[in-house]
Amino acid sequence: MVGAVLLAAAITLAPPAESAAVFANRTAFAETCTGTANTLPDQLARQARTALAALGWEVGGAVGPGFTRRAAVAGATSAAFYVHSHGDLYWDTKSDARVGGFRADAGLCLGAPIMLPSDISVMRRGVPSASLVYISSCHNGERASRLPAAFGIAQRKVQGSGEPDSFYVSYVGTAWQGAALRFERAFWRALLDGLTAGAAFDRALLVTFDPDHLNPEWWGGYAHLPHAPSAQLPDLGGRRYV
Amino acid sequence: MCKSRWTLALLVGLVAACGAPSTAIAPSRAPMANGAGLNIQSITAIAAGILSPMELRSLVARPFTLVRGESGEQRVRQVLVGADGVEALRVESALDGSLRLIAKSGVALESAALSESAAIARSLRQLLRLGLEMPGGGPEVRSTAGRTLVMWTREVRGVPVPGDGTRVVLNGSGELVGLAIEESPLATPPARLARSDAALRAATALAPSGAIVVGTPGLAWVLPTEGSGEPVGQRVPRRLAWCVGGVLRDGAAFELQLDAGNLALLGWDGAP
Repeated sequence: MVGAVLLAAAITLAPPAESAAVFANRTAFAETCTGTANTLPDQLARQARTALAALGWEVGGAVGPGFTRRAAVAGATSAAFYVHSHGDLYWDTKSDARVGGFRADAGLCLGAPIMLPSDISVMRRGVPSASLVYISSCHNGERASRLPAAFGIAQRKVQGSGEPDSFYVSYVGTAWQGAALRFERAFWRALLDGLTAGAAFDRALLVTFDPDHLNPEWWGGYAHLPHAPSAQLPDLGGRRYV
Repeated sequence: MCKSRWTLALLVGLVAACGAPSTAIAPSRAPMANGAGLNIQSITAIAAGILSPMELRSLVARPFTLVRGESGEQRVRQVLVGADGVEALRVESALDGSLRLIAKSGVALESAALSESAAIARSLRQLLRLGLEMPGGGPEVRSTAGRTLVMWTREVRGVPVPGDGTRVVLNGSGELVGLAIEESPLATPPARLARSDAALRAATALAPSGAIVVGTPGLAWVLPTEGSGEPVGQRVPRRLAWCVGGVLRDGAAFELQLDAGNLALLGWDGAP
C-alpha cells in the first residue's frame, strides 16, 4: 500500500527530463553547530549549480534548512543530481545491510534525517538512469554504497562500446571539504570546456588536492557528456571550438 | 616596470596573432610563441613525444590563449582538438616558459595495477622525456579510480607546501594521463616562530565546544582562507602555519591552520 502510494507520488512528482537538483547541507557545518564559520557548502553548491545550468539543466534543489528529506526525495528523481552533506554507510533495515547514504540539512546540527538508496530507488522506479550524479560526501564512492544503483548506474567503469549514458562521482573514505572544493571546481570546469565526464574526472585528478584528504571514485560511461538532452551542445560560452 | 610593459606589449601581439587560422598538427621542435618573444614549448613538439602516430592523426592545434590558473598564475594555454572538436591534449606553461600542465583526454582505462616502483619509474621517465626537472625526495604513490597518482610535494626549508610540487597521473599500464607542476609564491616567514605547544593551546581555545584537539601540530605553507573563503584566480602567497587536527563532537575531523608567528586563524578545513 505504502509502496503504491510512493510510486504514485513518484510519478506525480517526477520532474521533467531536463531537471537537475543541487542540495547542500549548510546547518551542520555552520558556526552555530561547529563553532567555526564555514562557507564551503555554499561554495560547493554554487559551483555545481552554475555548471549544471551552463550544461543546459533547469536547476532546482535547496541549500540550508530547505534541504529536507522530503525535498531531497523529490529531487532525487531528477536526471542530474548533486548533494554535499555528511555521508556514511548506515544500517538499512529494508535491506538488512549497511549501505551508503547522506543526511539532509533540515536545520539540525546533529541527527538530521538520512537518505538511503531504498528511498531513492522507490522514487525512481520507471525513471531512466540519471545522467550525472555527484554525491559530495564521505563513503559514497565505496563499493558498499548502493546509491549508484538507486540512480540506475552500475558500479563499473565503461569506456568504448556499450558505455552507459550515466556518470556517478563520489568519494572513498573521509572527504575533506577544502580538497573537495578544488577537485569539484576542476571537474566542472573541464565539463564546461567540453570534455567528457571521464576526461573531466581525469583532469580533476591533476588538481593539487591532498590525497590524504580526498579519494574520488567514479562509475558509468567515460565518454558520457552530461548535458541536458535538449542542449545539442553544452553552453560553453564560445569556448568550444567546433 | 619597463620590462613588464615590454612583456605586456608582446602578449598583446601574441593574442592578436591568435587570429590566424588553426593548423593541422605538424610536429616541430620550434617553440610556437618564439615570434612573440615567449619561449614556450610548442604543444606539437610535446604531442609528438607523448602521443602515438595514430593518436596524432587528425589533431588540430587551436590558437593559444592566455589564462589564469587556479593558483592565480598567468599561463599560456595550448590545445589540440580532434576532428570532432573535442580536446585531446592541453598544455599550459608559465610566462617564463616553465611547463605547468599536460593533460590528455580519453586515455584508456586499464585493469592492470602498477606497482609503486613501476609507477615511480614511469613517472620519472615521462619527466625526463619532457626535459623537466627531476623532483627531489621520495614521491607518494596513490591509486585512485583506476589511475595511479605519483606526487612529489614541494618542501621549503624542510616544511611542506601542500598542493605544490609535481604530480603525474598514469593509467593501469603506465601510460601518461597528465602531469601538473605547481609552485606558489610564499610570504615572508614570521621573524619569530610560535612554539608548537602554544599553537596547541591556541587551537584548543579556538576549537568549538565539544571538539577535541588531537595529535601534534605540524608546520606547513598554507593558503589563507579564513574570512574570504578560498581565493580563486588570485596569486595569494602561502603563509607559514601551524596545522592542528581535531575531532568535532559528531566525530567529524577538522584542521585549524594558525599563523606560525602570531597564531591568528588562517584557515579551517573539515570532513563531512
